[in-house]
Amino acid sequence: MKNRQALSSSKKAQIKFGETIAIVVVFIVLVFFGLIFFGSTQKEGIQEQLREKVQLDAVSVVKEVSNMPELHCSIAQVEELNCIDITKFASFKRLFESDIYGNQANMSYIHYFGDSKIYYTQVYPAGEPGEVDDEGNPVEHVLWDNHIDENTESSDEMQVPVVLHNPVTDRRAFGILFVKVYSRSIE
Amino acid sequence: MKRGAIQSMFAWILMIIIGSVFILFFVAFISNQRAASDARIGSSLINHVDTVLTTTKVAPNAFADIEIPKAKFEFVCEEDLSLYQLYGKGINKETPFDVIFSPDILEGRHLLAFTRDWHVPFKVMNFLYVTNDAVAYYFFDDLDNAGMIEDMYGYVHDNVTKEIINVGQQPVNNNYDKIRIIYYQEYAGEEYPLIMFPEGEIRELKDRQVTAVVIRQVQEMTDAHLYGQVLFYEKEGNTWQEKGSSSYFTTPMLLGAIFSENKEMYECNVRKAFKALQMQAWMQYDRIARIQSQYDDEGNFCGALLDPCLFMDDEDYGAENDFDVPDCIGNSYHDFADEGPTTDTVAGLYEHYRFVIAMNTDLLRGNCAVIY
Repeated sequence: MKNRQALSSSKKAQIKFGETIAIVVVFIVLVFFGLIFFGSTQKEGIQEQLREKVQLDAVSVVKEVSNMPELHCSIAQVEELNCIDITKFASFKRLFESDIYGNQANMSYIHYFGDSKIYYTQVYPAGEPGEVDDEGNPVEHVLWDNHIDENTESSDEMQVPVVLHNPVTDRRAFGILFVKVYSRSIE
Repeated sequence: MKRGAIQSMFAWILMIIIGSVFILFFVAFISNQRAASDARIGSSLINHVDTVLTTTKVAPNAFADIEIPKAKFEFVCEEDLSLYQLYGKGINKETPFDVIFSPDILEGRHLLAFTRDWHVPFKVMNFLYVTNDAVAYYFFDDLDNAGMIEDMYGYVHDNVTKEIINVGQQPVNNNYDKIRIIYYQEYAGEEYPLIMFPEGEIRELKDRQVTAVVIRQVQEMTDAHLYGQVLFYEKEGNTWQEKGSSSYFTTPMLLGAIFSENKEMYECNVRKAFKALQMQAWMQYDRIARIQSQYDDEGNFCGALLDPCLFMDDEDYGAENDFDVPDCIGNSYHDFADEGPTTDTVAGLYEHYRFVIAMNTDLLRGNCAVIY
């Protein structure tokens, strides 16, 4: 009789202990799901912030490029707004490729342009030699293209209408300056 | 002891262990979140300041009054380290190529930033000057400065705390964190008169709060607006102690000396400006040599008006080209920028400045492509 009572009380204790373990397990599972939910909310927030940052960076690069003395047209010692001197553009581009200053220039301007692509196309007069490719698309005159890797998101391409001025021939054309900023996506 | 009692005790111990693990976990989690939140706030403050400074610095003669929660900003410019940061928080923004003249520490609820563009005479970049309303700039006008003091006073943005101190007046201390006094000395040969420390309540301030910059004309007939020497002084008791001298080229750079904490920070930023000038010199050489070649091929007289050698010599250019490389003799913008801000280099820059102005005027008259 005593043995049976002891056995029954041991079983009760085991059941109680099992219940305690079960509660702890359920609690851990709930905390775990809570953390996953919290993490995913945080991730969405970070992704949203990242998207905003990419857009802000794009605006910032557009402002930088539009105001660079390296590209500005000068008419009678006055800087013309939204105008690219195509001879300055060509020299600026060659600076990045030069043996002596290429590295220094890349290190300096990456600070301003970051991971982006900056180029212009001529839109009027359209179809001039050298301004369209074999398929009839406008040629992209690329100043800067720093694409970190394939798994990157890019901002919407920002477009700024510009005047393209050749000071040697004093010829003007209309073009569009494109700026696209890249950033790594969060998996 | 009974088995039931042992089991009950075991259950309690288990609960205590698990409870402690949970408490530790949540404490770590909360403290982590708190640190992350602090970092996020600091980072968003730095980003906010960066966005405004970036927007301001691209436009010439721009001004921004940046409202911030009470914070302490530190500006650093050393040979291999250039940044601004939230003091003691480790959150910073690197500025290896931006020229930012400022005191080393700014504390308060505002940052004041304005720009001036640096021409030599073609535009190189915009200089950014950062200060706040707790720093006062006093310009000592002793009536013998050819208008230099009034001009420099006018060149500082009106929202900055500034005042002209006339003969007989003394600077006042309205609980400013820092006071910078600006003097001018015209050319005096070998012996320049001593700068006397002002009388009055400014003497009660701590030494590190009061500094001075002396603008010095280097030769009798030179225009101190264009180039000259700057001397940096710090208060030691009731006297001025000289802490080194440097040179400037044109008023935006002189204004840089006025806004810099000391000679080291000033020269660090000037070196950044000179590096930018070297790259501009390369681009000017490349562009002008190509345009000249094009004009020469067409038999256009404009080619004869252009001189790429002012900007750089053929050896420093070192790029593949399809034009006749000019044979350059003598110093260029590139060489002067290489040597840093000395009296000789700024005088050399001034000579080139005049040549380029003359060349550009001729190009304008001839209806040719201009340099700037």
